Amino acid sequence: MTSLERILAVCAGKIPDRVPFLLASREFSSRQAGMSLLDCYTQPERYIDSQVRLVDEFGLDGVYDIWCTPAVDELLGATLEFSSSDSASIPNGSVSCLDDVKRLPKVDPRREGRAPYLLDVVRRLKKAVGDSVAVIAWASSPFRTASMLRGVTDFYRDLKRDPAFAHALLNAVHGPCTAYGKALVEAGADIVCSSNPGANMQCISRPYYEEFSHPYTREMFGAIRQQGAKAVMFHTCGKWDDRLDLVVKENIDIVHCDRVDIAGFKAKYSGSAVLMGNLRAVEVLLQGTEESVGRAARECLAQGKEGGRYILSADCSVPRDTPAGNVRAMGAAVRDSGRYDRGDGEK
Amino acid sequence: MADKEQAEYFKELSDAVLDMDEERTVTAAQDALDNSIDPYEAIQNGLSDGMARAGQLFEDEEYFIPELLMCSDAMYAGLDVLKPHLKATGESRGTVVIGVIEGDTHDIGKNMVRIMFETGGFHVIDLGRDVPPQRFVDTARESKADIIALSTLMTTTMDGMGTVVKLLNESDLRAGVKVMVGGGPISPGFAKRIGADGYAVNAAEAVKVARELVARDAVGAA
Repeated sequence: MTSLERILAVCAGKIPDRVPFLLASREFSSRQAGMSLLDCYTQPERYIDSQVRLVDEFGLDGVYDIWCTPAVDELLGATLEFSSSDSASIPNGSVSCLDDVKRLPKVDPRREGRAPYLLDVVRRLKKAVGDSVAVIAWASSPFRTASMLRGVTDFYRDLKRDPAFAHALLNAVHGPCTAYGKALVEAGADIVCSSNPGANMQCISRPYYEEFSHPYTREMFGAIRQQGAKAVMFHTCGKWDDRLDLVVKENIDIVHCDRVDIAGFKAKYSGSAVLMGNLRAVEVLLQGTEESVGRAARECLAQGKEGGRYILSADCSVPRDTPAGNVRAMGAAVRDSGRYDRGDGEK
Repeated sequence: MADKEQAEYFKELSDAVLDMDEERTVTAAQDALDNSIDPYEAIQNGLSDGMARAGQLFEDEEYFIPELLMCSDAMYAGLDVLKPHLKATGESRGTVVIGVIEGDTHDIGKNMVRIMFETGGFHVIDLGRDVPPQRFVDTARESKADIIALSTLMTTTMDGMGTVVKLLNESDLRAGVKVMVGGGPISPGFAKRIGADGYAVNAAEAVKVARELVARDAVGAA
């Protein structure tokens, strides 16, 4: 069974040969290759090589694109700030009134700004790993992009003070966000991933999530699936317990969970989505030992493996300075303890 | 003194903040002044009380960031009315130097903590984001700060918090300055390992921890 087949098997409710193993690994892979995050934007081949090496050396079942969070935001007029050790960020909002929303440009991510470069990296990644390994690429959700264009705190205020304006902005960015997601699929992404850290239950209430995030995300992910994405993944940064029932209705195949009880999630939502997670990225993977990582991974597997519908991963991106031995220990655990005796995928 | 009891003015200010009503807060603040209510008392028992109640609702997951922001907007609008009438007593619970550690530009969490500190009666010096470790120590010295509060969202910058503690230990300030840490990758275990005095999981808890640290220090000094 290939890596991609393994992932698609759990998405289809089948039992694979073993539990798939994925890690959001941009920071880790670039550090392993001696690159800064800035280098990723100018040295595509090195970044691609760094991802392919992870598959070869650590046994991962998929590679990640550059994960340029604000690619679409920039097309819509945001000014990005780059750093050697952090994702590109947007220090100031660029939308302050309804006229600004109306003036947002029509964008074609295949032809404009930084997007063609990012799409080309996805194309080359797919070529490098072939059909057997999953290429996972990142697309911004409308709520996230709206927050960035408006300025995060101002957008939170809009939700209360001027919900009609918030909806106008969300409607305006929905098309470009979707277009970028679809372009990723055209470029060769097998799985499109997204997240929305500003919409977790530490930030906005469930009714606000239901009104301002859920419908836009559901529609966007539906369109990306229609475009031919083999799966859609959503990463829940922070606490999401009170809205996971909404998340799994957003045309999502895989929920990459931050803090969640694996067995509890599986009992409630396995019929709707695959759970991916959730070994502690900082306290265990970064700060632990090979022994503690192996132990934590086996605990995750003990809770998640039975019945399939589970992918072993960390609870967030792998920290840049994570010891390589710790990632190897996680891979060893999935190879030793993640095997299914008689998977549907066994020949 | 007014027809109304003093407590009623405080309650109206507190309720107006809690209800996120800027206009009502301004009216209540002016009403308090017009009726000879001490502005310092009005701030502490009215505006700050409203924010403390909002903070509790945030902890209880009934209020969220939009609600806290609206409450703080109402509180600051009330402060604009009351502050010019304050006698320069300089009374505060203590001085906090706050900032996001060098290399990190994520400051939403830090800004929420700043609001809660200010409304909790602390004098706050906000150094912003991407702040070098030495600057925290220098500012603490200049301002005679009681607390240095450090935030980061990134694993790549969290070690800078330990550097601040180390620099503070090497200075002659450590006995009088407590260090609090918080942010996405930070855990109580990490706080302990680097020698920080306090850790808070969110903005509402941060102000409680700060109060405990200052109170503990006062007891220790007695």
